[in-house]
Amino acid sequence: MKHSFLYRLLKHSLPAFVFAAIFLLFYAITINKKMDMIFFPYNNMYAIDFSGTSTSSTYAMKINGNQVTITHNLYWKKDLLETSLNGYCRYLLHNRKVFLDDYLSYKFSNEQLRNLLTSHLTPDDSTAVNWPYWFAKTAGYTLPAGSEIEFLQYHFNLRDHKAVLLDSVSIYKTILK
Amino acid sequence: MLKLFNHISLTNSLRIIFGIVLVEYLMFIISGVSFTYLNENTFFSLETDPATWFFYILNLPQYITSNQWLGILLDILIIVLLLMFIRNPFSNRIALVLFMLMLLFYVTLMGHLVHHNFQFGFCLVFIPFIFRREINKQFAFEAVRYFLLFFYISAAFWKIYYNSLTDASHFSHLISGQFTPYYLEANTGIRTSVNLYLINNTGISYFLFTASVVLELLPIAGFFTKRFDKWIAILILLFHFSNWFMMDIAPLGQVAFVCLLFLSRSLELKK
Repeated sequence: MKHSFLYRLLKHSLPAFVFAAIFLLFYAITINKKMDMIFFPYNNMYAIDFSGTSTSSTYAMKINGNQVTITHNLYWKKDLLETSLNGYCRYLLHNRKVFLDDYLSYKFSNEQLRNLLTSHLTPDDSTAVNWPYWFAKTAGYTLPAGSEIEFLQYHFNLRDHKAVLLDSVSIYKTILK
Repeated sequence: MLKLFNHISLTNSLRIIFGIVLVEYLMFIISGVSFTYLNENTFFSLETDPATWFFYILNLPQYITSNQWLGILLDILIIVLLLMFIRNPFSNRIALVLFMLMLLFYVTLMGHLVHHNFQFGFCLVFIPFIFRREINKQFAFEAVRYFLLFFYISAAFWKIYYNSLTDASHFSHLISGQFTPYYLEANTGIRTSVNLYLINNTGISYFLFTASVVLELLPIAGFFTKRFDKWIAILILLFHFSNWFMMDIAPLGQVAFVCLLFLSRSLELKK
């Protein structure tokens, strides 16, 4: 007991002990609420098998029919391009809404607070429409006016030691002004 | 690595740790995802994380990404401060500023990554050093060390809690989505071959998954003794680099944080 960290912390500094106690309590509450917290490793990555199959899907953007490639980039850029593209495609599929649009309207009944949070915590539709410019530029492509851009979803089957493309679906297509 | 940390002074050991943090931040810059390169990135998506919300409510990430000069300035500031901190790793003021800047960068990048990345270590590594008094520094180090151990144990706990170990094909299914963009772009090689092999050989992938859960559970020993800290660090690093090979998840922001375990004896609280 005398050698335990919290006991020694209490003997050293009461405010530090209170801070640690609140931290642990807050952590327990957030785990209970299933919230991902920045300081708290609610680390359930890969604990749940959501797909249950050996198929997979991914997204891609095409400029004038040519696919924007991303996997040749260094790790962080490849990761950012891949996950943000996936997020943007889901946003397009979901009537230009992100996860927090749904979460905030479900959790906050106070309209004023909900609107305030939504305006700060979700992307502005009028500026998010320009995101393909950033994506193309970061991936090393240019997007001149009049270019046709298209977002597609691809499904793969990875059984029998082969990656077989099953189908592709066009999600969104537009010509840039 | 083990002998190296044993035979050099604490100051030099800390210089190595924060040298790794410098390399980690340079990797963000060289890859092209640091503050400078997030300019004009107008799409983000956050999770249920009030700590992240705080920064976005203050409009900080949005303001930085809409002003390129500010992004460039912040990148330069971080590099300069890291160099100053490597020179004097006991300057608590520099540690505090670096912690806040790294936290701001983490929150900004995660918003644009559209998912919570586990690589929070490049921020947490500064926490013990933001305190001026030696005793406070030691207490903070102890707390961060417990947090690090818990970080990995919790990952194992959730896998057991959700019965992942009772499903032999769990890992085969999980890794089927890890390399899909590579298949789409026909950018294949040894890692994609291993990926296909593991998807189609559930027995081997189940063994690897079970081994990873055991490995994540091993840090529990650190709650009782510091004797194995160096080995825990080596095993965690091995685990992370295997993850990069098999799952394309590189631990680039986590290395320096895990390496703190090499300094457990030097920074420990005297009983």
